Amino acid sequence: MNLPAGLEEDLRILLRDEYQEFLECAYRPARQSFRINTLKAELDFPFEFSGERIPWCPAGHYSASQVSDSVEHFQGLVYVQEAASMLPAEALDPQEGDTVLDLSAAPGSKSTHMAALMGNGGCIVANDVDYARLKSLRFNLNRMGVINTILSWDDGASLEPDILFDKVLLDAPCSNAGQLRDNPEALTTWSRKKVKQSSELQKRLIIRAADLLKEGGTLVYSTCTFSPEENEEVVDHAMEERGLRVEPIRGKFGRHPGVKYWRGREYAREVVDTARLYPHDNDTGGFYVAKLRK
Amino acid sequence: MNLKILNSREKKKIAEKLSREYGGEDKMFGQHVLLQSGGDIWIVSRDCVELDLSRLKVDSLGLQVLRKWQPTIHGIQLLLKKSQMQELDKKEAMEFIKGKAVKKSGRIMSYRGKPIDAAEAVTGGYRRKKTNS
Repeated sequence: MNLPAGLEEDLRILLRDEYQEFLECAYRPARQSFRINTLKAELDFPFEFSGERIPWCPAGHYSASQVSDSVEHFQGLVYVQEAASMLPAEALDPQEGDTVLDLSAAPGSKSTHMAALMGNGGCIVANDVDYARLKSLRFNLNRMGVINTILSWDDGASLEPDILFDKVLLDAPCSNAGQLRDNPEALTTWSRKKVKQSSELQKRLIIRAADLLKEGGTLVYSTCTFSPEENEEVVDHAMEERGLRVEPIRGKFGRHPGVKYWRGREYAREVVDTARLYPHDNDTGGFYVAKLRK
Repeated sequence: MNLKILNSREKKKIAEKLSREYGGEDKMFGQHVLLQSGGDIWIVSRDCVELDLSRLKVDSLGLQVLRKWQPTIHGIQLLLKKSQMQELDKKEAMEFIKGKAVKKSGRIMSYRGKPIDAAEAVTGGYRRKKTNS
């Protein structure tokens, strides 16, 4: 696996003397993992393919063998999901009576996770702009037995539902560099231009997300990439433009703090309370999570 | 599509029909709302129905549990878990999922106590019912 030159340059700056440790982990295939669908199965259901638990997600397990071709997968008892990507729904912590927006929801790992945390109560509006991916989202919601979700097909940046939400999840489209372990092809499309374009879109989306949040509501913003332009800069933009405040994320996972300075720009001090997950932190893919309150 | 919200009497009638055919509880729908369009029924959480959806571009909501009055696979897996089920072993369950006939008989086949899908009698045994899922 060869990293694009620009990405390698950025990672060397971000990681400094941890860069080699990062590379050694990045070259290893990612561990397979899954989440128990508690709408249909109990947390202690003895799956044959269960491995060790994932510390930050009570329903999450690493898998000892193939999951996706199992009977249990067909039955909708489990969802194959990358371990780090289980963090956003846990951080948002939606409750049974909440009204929740998943602004860029397809193919549904986080919507189905939230529905399970909510016990199929309350309401999730799961939105996506891409109709082909919306079909996958619909299938996954059905397979998981989710009944508390409304599927919306719209551009998240211009969504105007006349509803304010208790909680919003924005797992934003991004340059996908964090998928390098289980989807190295994602690196072939990485470029500085893509990072810039992604950042512009993410800023529009997070402003929309903030505007659809009730006063006192919680927004979790996440990506599967490393560029500060797509992570801390977007969070900083929401703080500046809409007065959101960062809250620390609780949970048992290794992390690096958000970066406050990047390429001549200084971000709000609180971005250090956002979480960067590099592969070598927890032996996962790369991820970024920020929790904000209005 | 015009969706009708079913009242408790209408919900109970559908639950009783499914119970008669497959076993299971009369209260299988709980406090959730049923929406009907012809022979198609969806189950939705009450909170979803109480939202003003007029300015949303709604693609779908809740889970379709009946299609042309027949339970969908996802409806069976969600609602009929307390019905009478025929337990399959792993090999049989894999065959059943692939649409092949298994020697055991039953209206609903299960694996490890959880429903897989409805079954129908064919030559050689029972296979997955074609429910248009």
